[in-house]
Amino acid sequence: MTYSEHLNKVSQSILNFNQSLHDNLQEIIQSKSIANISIYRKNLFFGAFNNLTTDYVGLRSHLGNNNFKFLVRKYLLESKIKSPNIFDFSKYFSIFLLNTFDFHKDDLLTHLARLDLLYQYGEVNKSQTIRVTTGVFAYWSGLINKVDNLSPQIDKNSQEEVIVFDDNGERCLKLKARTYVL
Amino acid sequence: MKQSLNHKVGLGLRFTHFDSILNNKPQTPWFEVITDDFLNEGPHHKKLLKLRQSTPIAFHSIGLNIGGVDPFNKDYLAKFKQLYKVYEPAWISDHLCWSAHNGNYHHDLLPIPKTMEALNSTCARIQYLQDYFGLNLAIENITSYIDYKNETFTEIEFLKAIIKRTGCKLLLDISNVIINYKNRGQDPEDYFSEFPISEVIQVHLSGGTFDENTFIDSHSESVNIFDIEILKKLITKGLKASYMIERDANLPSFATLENERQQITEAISDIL
Ligand SMILES: [Fe+2]
Repeated sequence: MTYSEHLNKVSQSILNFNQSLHDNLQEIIQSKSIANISIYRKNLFFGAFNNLTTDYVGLRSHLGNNNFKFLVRKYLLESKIKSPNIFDFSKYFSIFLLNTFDFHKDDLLTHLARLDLLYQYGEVNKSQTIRVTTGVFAYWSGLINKVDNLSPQIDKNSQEEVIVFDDNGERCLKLKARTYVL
Repeated sequence: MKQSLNHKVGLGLRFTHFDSILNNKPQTPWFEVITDDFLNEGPHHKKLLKLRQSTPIAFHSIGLNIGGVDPFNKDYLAKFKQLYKVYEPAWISDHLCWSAHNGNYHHDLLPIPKTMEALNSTCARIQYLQDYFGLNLAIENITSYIDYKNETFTEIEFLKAIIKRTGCKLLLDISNVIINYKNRGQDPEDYFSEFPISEVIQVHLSGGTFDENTFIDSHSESVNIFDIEILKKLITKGLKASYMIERDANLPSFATLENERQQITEAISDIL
């Protein structure tokens, strides 16, 4: 077995953490320690989960912890991490949501994710803006500020523009006074 | 710069401590900076430039994939080099491990099967990186939770062969060694006595947890007194490097961590 094939076996056994550990690991790993692959599986999952939890504060609050965990698991298993920069993995999560859920039926998740990303990574110096369905930003703000008994009031016939700005060293989002009627 | 950091105990720089460090100007003589934390733009860059005006740093990377076989990611290396030029760290370190395969990134430190093929590949990659950055890397020993069959070398033999071929330096993680040996019910004494301490430029100390019969390198607790005793022993045997506390989880306030750092400084001061 080549070195590359050896690494491949270990890599696959960690990445496919929804499957039971394959017998072919016996070939390369001492049987006593095979079960410890689970430590690397846990590291992979919680590394991804913690990153996405930090970045997607609004989305996680909307979904609740268990649903959010379910989505992270699905994303990790289906997409894998394709960049040495873990932030890239985090950023593509919104695209995954877009592809996973029928955009026209329920774009709330994707738009919440986009607002989260603007909040975390938006270019303050360039006064970056994004457009979201009207009502999503107000709902997102409520989620971020932990307001009780929230429910989104969405108007799918128009969009609002949201801008990222710096308030004494703290990143903030606000509504730019523009509405686009669709 | 390296010379002045000998026997100095530093800390790992963590974002949540940044403002406290810049506002209170602590006595911490140097910081280890995780290069991967600075791949993206953001206000942390301005803060690091400010810190850099008064304090030396070393770069520590988790993404070079030294033990892997995938081609190096050009964008990652270019960004890394740019950071190296801007922040002028005293040295760069990464781990004796692989972290990606077939384009899938684990963002974890996975053990290398210590065979001749692995040695050849690892040395070639270290040489490539050293040429790319124009300096000798420091390579760190990791914790391993699995044991491979049919290895040709012990870890010490593997490390010595790498040093011989590449001229690289070493980052000795004392706590990783202890965890590895504890998990196997063995005494780490032989490992430390055979470790080529003359090649060590940096030492890591950290505190782990015990989970389901396994000691985990979680960097979530204070450094164990036993680890500090090992450090002292190695210093009396001639170890001359820079030391630091690695803390990533269950993060205390900066003041608490700085206090722990001062305690370690005091603990080694009477043998220097
Ligand atoms: Fe370490």
